[in-house]
Amino acid sequence: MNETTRMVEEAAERLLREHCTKELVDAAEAGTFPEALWRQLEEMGLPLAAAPEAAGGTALPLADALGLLRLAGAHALPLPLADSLLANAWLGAAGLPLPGGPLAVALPGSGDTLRAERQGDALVLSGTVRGVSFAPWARTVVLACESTPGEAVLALAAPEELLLDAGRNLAGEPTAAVGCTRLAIDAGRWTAAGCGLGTLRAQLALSRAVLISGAMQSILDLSTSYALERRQFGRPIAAFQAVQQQLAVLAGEAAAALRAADGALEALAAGDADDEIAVAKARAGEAAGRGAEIAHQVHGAMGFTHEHRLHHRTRRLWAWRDEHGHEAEWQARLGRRICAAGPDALWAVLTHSA
Amino acid sequence: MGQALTFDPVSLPEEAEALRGDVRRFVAETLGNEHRRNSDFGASHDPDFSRALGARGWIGMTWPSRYGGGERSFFERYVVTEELLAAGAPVGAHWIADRQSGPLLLRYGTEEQREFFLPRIVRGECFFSIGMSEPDSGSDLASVRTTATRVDGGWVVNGTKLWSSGAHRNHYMITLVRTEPQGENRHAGLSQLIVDLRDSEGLTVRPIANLAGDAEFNEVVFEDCFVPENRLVGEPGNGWAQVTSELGYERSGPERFLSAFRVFVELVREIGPEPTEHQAAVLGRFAAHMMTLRKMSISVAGMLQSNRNPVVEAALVKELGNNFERELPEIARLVAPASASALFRRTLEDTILHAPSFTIRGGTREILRGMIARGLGLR
Repeated sequence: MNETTRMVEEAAERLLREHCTKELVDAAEAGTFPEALWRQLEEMGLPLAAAPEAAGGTALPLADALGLLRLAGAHALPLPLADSLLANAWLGAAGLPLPGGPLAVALPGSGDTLRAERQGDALVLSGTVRGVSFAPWARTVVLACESTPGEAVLALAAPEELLLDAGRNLAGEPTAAVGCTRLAIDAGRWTAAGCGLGTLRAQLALSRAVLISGAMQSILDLSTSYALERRQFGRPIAAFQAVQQQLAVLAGEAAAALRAADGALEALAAGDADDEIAVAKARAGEAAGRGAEIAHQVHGAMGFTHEHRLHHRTRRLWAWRDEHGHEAEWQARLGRRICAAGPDALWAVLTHSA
Repeated sequence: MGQALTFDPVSLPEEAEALRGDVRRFVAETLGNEHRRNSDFGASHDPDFSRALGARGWIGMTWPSRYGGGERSFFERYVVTEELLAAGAPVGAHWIADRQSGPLLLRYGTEEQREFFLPRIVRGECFFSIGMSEPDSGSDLASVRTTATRVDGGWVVNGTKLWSSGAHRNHYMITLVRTEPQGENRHAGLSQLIVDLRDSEGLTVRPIANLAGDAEFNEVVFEDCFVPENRLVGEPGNGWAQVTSELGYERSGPERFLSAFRVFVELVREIGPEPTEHQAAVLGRFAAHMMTLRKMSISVAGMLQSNRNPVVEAALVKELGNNFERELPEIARLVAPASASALFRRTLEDTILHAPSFTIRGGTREILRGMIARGLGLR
């Protein structure tokens, strides 16, 4: 991590601790866009953290910038920082002027139909993408799909042109299905991404793994504090071995999620992150489910109330583990690669030492 | 965020990676293409292989050269170890001596002990067993009752040690004994003695068959067994601290998640190049767990390299790793094709039969979770 990243991280930690409060998250879930907090994130340069300086960004290495999302996960930040940060990095690198404001990324997963074709200087888009995070709050939707196989394009559109069906994810964050029929995007509002769609999707998946790793640390801290405070049978429930053993398992899952996500960030910084991102999303996603279960069990009925802030983290864990590919999808991808390499190359694949 | 359990990003340095090819060639040349069982360090005894490894400089790799060691880093040792385990190499004979007895003597042993034992260990000629558990002392190690009474020129030992793997064929056993009666502080008054397993009077080693039919672990009975003065390790009464440091070395290595690895390899062989979606997801899940565990384990090697004492982190890696290696064969049997080969069956069954020991040896799952809970400040 470079010095600039460290400074940004410290400032962001202070900001979120002070302003990303229980009340703010509750209000966001009730439908209020937390505009003041978004403006503060912008003033700190976070949505543009990985965008080039020429585009007004901080130009942090992408892996460092994504690492900042641990804080967003730990504080249950109800804003599209992950997708804005990535979209600004992609658009900036491709030389398109940055649209500003909160961004949503509509990238087709399995079952979605969005596609593009070129028509002169324009790009013509048709199809749908379901469950686009924060699309109802976005100033601009960044549509990402392929025009020719292996080459992704990025196109900018106003939400009014696209929004079909607004809803909420498990965490109460606004989402929407996005769709269009032969929507023409003029030159200057779209660009080739310079990589395949799979690369973009992998980075979105990695962002969710990092968010999960931050939220896991937070639910571990909440659960250990609660176990030490809550008294039953005349002593803190932390004194019971049954509780201690569960929290030890939660600590293991939190540590594994963090190490897997960090490992993928290191691989991204080193250049080849395909396998490591699959590992991170699969492992962190699995940790999310087990971890949330234990955190709730330890918190008892108290943690099941709307009043307690635990659910701000656990509902996000349940949402993030599904976004941009759940565990089985990324596991299967790794598994197919292993089968293609064959049994005698398994160890070399696992250790990157072919 | 909490600081207690963080695993720093550590990757293996170039000079460590460079050893990988050498180890693979060595294993291929030494063992050929014969079928390999898992490298169970309690079961795979092959003194010839250990001597050949010693000749390559791959035992005592991190130790000072004046004792025959290689002065290599923990990372280089890590690569050699994981390559041997993944290949199913028979590492059992020298394993305990290399992993914990040698490091214990380096830290607490007398100069005479180091000069005598370490070069022999390094050459792959001197094998050690662990003498900690007793019939009434398993997880509660501080309750050991084997006594050593001071006599002219040494100690007289009485009592019984249990589960000492390889004691029927190894050379020495580092034995935890009570040198003072148990008082208020139950961790006080313990000491460690190096017992000669091949040439001691009043010593009986009885192999105990395990459920897989192997006779690997033993009961070791001491009846007025004399141990000379110069075989005391460290200070009398300091045994608890010494044993705890020994267990730190024991817990975080790749052997804590690779015990079932050959099942993974053979499962990939059975499934072939075109897995179903479910089979692919199962194999990918194994991979995601293993690759994450390996990163955590390498991170602990980094802490050892920086002279830190990662007791809780090591316990956490072992706990996660053991659960993974116990789960692997259970899931593998359900996704293997019905036509699976006899080779696959044999590998799977061998692993299933040994799996109960994975979450017991070197600290039970429950004890490890208790240590992690203490690391979290819960107790």
